Amino acid sequence: MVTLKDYEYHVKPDWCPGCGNFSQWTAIKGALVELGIEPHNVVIVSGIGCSSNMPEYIRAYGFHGLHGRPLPVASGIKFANSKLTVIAYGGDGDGYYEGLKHLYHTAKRNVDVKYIVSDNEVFGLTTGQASPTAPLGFVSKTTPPPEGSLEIPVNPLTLALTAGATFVARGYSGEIKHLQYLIVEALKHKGFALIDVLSPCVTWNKIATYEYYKERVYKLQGNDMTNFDNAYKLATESGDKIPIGIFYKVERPTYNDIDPVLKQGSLTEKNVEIKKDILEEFY
Amino acid sequence: MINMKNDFVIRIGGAAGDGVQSSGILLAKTFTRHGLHVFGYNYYQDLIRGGNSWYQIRVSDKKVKDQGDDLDILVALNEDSLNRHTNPNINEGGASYLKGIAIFDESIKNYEKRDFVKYLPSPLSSISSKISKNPLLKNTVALGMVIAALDLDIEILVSAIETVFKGKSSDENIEAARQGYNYYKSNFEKFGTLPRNGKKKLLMGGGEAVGLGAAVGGIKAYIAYPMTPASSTLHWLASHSKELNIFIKVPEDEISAINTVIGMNYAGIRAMTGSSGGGYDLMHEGIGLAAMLEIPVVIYESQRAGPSTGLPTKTEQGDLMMIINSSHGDYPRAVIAPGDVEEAYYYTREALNLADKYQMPVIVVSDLYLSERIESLDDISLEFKIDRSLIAKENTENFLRYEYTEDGISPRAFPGMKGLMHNEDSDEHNERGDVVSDIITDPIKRKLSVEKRMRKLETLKKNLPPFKTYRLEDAEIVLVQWGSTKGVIEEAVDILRERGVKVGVLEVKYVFPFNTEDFITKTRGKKIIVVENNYSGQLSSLIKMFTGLDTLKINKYNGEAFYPNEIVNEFKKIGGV
Repeated sequence: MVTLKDYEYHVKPDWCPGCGNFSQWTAIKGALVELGIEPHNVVIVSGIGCSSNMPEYIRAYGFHGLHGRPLPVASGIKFANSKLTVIAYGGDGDGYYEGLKHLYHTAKRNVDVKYIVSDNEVFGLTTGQASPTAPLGFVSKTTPPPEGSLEIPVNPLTLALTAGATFVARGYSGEIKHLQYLIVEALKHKGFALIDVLSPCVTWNKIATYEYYKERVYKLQGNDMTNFDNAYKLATESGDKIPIGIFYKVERPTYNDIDPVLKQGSLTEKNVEIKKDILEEFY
Repeated sequence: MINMKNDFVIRIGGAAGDGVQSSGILLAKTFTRHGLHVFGYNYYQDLIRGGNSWYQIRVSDKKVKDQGDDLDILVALNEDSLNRHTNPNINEGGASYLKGIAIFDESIKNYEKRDFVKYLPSPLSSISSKISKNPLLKNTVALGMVIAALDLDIEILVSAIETVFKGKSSDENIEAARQGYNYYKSNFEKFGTLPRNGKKKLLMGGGEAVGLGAAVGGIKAYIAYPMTPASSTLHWLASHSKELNIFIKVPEDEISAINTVIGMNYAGIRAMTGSSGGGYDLMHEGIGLAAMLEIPVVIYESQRAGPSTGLPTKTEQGDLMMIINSSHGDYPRAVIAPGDVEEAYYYTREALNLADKYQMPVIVVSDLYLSERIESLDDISLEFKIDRSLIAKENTENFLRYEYTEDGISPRAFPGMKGLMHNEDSDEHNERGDVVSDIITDPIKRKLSVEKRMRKLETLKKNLPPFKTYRLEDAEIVLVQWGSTKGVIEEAVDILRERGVKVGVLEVKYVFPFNTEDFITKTRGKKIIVVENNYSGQLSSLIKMFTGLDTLKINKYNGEAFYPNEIVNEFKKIGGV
């Protein structure tokens, strides 16, 4: 039986006390244990940013790569070995600025990787600059007052829906159990899953705090998860009411299911055989 | 009058969309099926219809190493081509004008008569229009005439048509070829003859050779974004994907390509990517990542003339410095430059073993002149031992992914293997893979980790093969080359040797790391001239850097490849003789 101890690594997180990433750390491990997945079959791939240090703190296969690139790496791993559980992980700067194009295309391909984004609306590691999800008017070192940020924020949920993601959810670091449930559902889902996690940055973001979210966050219940229009509408709700939960969940063949080579089985288990007649075409 | 040569250059000239290239390849296949040797090269522009393009084929009973200096037979598919290729002042980057026969449609009347050309206006269009409406059929009529002119076997052209057209329009093409052949026989005398060696030759393109080398080298995936002239490899692999069980994917960009391929190699399979310089530019961060995580990765870079978009359909060797210096930081890598089609095959598969052994990026460098040429080969070997090198055993206690070993090489472990869980990190890390850059940076470990990675380069350096040479033994002057220019420089040396000049070639395949000692030994006491298809002499600068030796230079950078006599003339100019 798999227990939490199996996922315990000798390196401990160095996030600021109170950081929302701790909840995600707990929820990811909890979900893996809940589903009885063994650590040697799990790969956690991340980009760059505070949250992206995640693979360093979990006893599994970890890949701490480049800023914005967890999804291409995760896709490569899943293409190569379909038996692995592949989790891509990173922050909003990583995924929605530098890596946005990869998010769109990985979603449309329906590669069977789970993408969890710690969304705190700032760049934590580079000292609090406005990120792609920062609200209009957000004041930071790079968006000084009085104007603050001059851009409207990225809406990762509507973006993923438009791209063709088959599982779109939002979690909140203040609701660990609920977050664990979302991760379990994402892991059970066959196909690409995005979970955007509202995650307070206790050091740099004095607006999107635990108090802020506590008053606004509500859990979706009984929504038709197969209704695209409804999901899209819910995903645009903001302000005083912020829904969390599964917005959209549908079945579509994954890339590994339909590619003529990949559907024959894991590439890691195959030998490429070169027959002598390969030279015939050259005569 | 019969030409007594046994080495002919044929040029098929027309506009883009005229079927110039496919006619050229069909003719080349007919030659190799006669047991003859060929070299073919496509001169084209960055457009789909119109303009001026041509395909040049050189054929001989002996191995031909380049496209050749002369022009003996011209098939002109339009008036412009006829005038262009018969003009002594042709300004096409070193190509020569016709001194031989010109085959063209009789409707072309407006051309300047040259006394060194024998004009053979022929009913190409009227023959083909009686067979079918397909306007490209007149090319096949002309090919039939070429076969007759060289006194070759029309049945072999027919068999080549059957293979190339695979039923769809082969009947009408066969008819066109036969009528063209008969028309020539009834109206003109033969132009020359070629001795036949009997045994069929292989006909392979440089890009195909890279693809085949990759397949035999054990890749299970090729992930690449299309870019001329690297695409021929992607196309060949894609067309064989199902039979070879090789996964092919065009991702959203080259950044994705390199990162996906790194993910695949990390997961335990061999996967490759490829591009030209512009796409390779986007891969730099990934190459540094592979170096830091010690994940093997092979990248095929086929250069074209740059910078920026440059000349998309023209050749140059201008990326060497960029490739050797890819990405930031100090890290080990290997750069290999095959010199011809055969080497493109052998060195690509070898690169895959090398990458696994040293767990570092290995870049196979080609260029348009090599990737888009075709060459005849007597034979190639499919025998190859795939060596995955050092892999840990499951449940190894206290597994150290980055163990500080004497040769720098430490065992790999793949996700899915039991008891070897660890983290691979783009941050600096210790032997276990744990980060040493955060909280309190560990300068001692940092130093040890840098040295561990760089020791792999030292190990590779010790295992480098000696440089290949050509007629170097008694030479007083050495021409140094890398990559695609191998054959043409060898021929230039043959020409100079006939004139009594003691000159030979040193061929650099492993450009980085560089076998400094062997270079110094082999060039000792000789005058060194580095011949390159670039402006600044990038290998020449590297030689200075690696050996301290000064060299003379011959450079060409107008987008076209060298011609043998062009090198001979440049050689004389800089006082090589």
